[in-house]
Amino acid sequence: MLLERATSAVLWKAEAHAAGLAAADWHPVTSAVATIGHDGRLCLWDGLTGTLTRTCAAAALWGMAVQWSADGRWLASAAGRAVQVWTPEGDEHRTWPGHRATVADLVWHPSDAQLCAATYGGLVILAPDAQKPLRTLNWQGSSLVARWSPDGKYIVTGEQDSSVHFWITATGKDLQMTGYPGKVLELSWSPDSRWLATGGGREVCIWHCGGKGPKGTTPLVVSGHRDRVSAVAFHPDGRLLASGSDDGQVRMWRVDGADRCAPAGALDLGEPVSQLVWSPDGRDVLVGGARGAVWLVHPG
Amino acid sequence: MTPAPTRVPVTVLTGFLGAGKTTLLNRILTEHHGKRIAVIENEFGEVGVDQALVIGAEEEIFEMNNGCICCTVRGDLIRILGNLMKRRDRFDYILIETTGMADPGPVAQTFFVDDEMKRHLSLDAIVTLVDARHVLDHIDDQEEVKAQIAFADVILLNKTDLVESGDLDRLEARLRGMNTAAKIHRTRDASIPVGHILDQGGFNLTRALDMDPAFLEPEYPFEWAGVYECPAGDVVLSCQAGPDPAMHVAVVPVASATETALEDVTEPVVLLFSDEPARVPSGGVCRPGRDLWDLDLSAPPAEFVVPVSEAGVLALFTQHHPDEFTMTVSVAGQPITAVVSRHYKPDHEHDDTVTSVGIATPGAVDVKKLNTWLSTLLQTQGQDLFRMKGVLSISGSDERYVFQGVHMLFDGRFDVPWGDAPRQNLLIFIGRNLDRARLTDGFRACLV
Repeated sequence: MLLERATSAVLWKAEAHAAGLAAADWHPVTSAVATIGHDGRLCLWDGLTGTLTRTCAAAALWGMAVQWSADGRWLASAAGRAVQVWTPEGDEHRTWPGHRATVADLVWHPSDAQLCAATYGGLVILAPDAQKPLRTLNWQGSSLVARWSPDGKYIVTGEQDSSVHFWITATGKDLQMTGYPGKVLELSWSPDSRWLATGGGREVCIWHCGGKGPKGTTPLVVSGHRDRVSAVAFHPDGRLLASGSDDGQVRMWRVDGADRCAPAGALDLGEPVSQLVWSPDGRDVLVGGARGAVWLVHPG
Repeated sequence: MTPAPTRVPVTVLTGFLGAGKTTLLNRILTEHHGKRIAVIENEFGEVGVDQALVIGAEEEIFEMNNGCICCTVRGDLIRILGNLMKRRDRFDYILIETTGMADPGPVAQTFFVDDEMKRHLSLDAIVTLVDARHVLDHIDDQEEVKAQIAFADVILLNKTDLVESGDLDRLEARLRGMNTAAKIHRTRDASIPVGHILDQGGFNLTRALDMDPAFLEPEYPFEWAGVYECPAGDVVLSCQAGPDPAMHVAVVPVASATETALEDVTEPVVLLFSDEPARVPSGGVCRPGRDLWDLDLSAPPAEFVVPVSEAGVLALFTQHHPDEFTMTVSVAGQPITAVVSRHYKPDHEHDDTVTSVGIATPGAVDVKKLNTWLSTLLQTQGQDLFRMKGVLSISGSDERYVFQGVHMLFDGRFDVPWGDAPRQNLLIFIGRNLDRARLTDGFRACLV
């Protein structure tokens, strides 16, 4: 479904995956949109018109993730235990089957042609032109979501066992941050890679990742939500943070240069928040509700 | 703040290979029961069949970093159920089929450990299908089969048409000995109303008290005792053909022909029944006193003589009910009847490592002592404790405290007030190598 920001008009709407849509991603340059679902299909669309341009067979029925590389040359998808890389036209370029368990998340390096697949048992770093993984990062735990820091220094994962895991890309060394009340699915980097905001409970924990990194530090802990935090998203300027919770509240926080964090507004939407996405110009944040509603929220 | 939507009940279907899980699933998918059920099968595929949404899953067991057994969960279920909740409007129940070899522990723990699962779903019951014909072939060497029976809230004793009724009774008694808390239904071709599987409330804390109090009675190594007033001379026990080729009996003197006197000798006779029995051929002698006799009934009819030196009151304890062997007690050719008699709940199978221990006792529980006892118990025996549940009378509180646990995971809270109901503590433990006396003593030590 494509909505027009100015008018909220529905520009197009298409039934993409009957069994449920798992992920969608805009191409960084063109108007192409890629989607993957639980029907074993990977679909390419013209994002402006809603025309289905190509349907590809994913490696397994249960599609989990789809993402364009930073330069738009590659499209990566995860389904079942396999990772695949496709050309922008939808031709299969390479398949890595047989990961240890179902691939839970997939993320491209912020600039290089490298891909990180998160699964139970750790991370695997892949390159489109090499069948052999560049690196395997073992960890006895279940990594649920992965985010590469915008400067490429860290890969951070949210874990089933109520922790956040930092991997230092250059060395392969890791840090485990424990103490979360629940599993961590919510991760957002500030664009300058200085901050990482995490959910995993009723509080937002913000790790300071500048300088020497988060090792041995205590995070900023931001309280205000009355229910589990279900989404976090840093504003493109890296100083404003939006967070949403299961009780339908969206809160804004301002992180200042002195590493302090202050409330900057709150809004009750009445539906559990499932997604928060800032517009590229930072004017609005798009809020997705767990029961299907979408709001465009203008902060301040 | 929006009210929390009701949680979707989840039923877990377990059963060894060939027990009839597929037959049962096919029935549920094709019968017109009017319920909308999402089914997670351990096969590939996603199809819609009339009222059902069917999703294939591949078992993925995730062990967490600390290596603790309670942190073993089903990663595939967390992912699939999480996604399924986005289609919440399409179903009212979820049914999860496990593989034949699956240990139900990780499945159950998933609903205790994962906050998202706890929030949106409630584990309703574990339903275990048992192949009445073949289960005895592998129950002794397959730990999974025992675990599936021990974890069950509902047991479907299936394929009953392939087994004789006496064997079925014995099998049911054995299952009952392992898991006294489960509801047992006998089925053919896995035919059972869907209402006996869904909405059972096995993990519902407020329904934790819905245990048949009879399950909590102590168990005995004998099924029956009768008290006879005997003249001096020979008392003859005559047995006809019965279900077993032998039976253990003890004949002990009692103070008087009263229930109290019978009660007084019961505990010593329980000990006596753990002794090595002496074999008695037909026509042989069973002296009254501190001996356990093993009557040979392999060639019925059979007779045994109890020599009575001076007139007195004797109690006869029998391993099985005497009616099963049409047993008569006679003096000089005239049958005599028991002045007092009693049935006992038998403990069926001594050799099962998986058993249930029930505790029913009045008294108020000291919370501090209980916490200390329970945490030690769970740390040391958590791996062997499959399920536990109960209702407690906590000192200083007017409300019932209900709890349940799976391995090392524990969930408990205060529930409705006792009101006029008599305050008491009811607990049941189902597990491997449970020490009844230690559990009972341990709990009693927590009373104020």
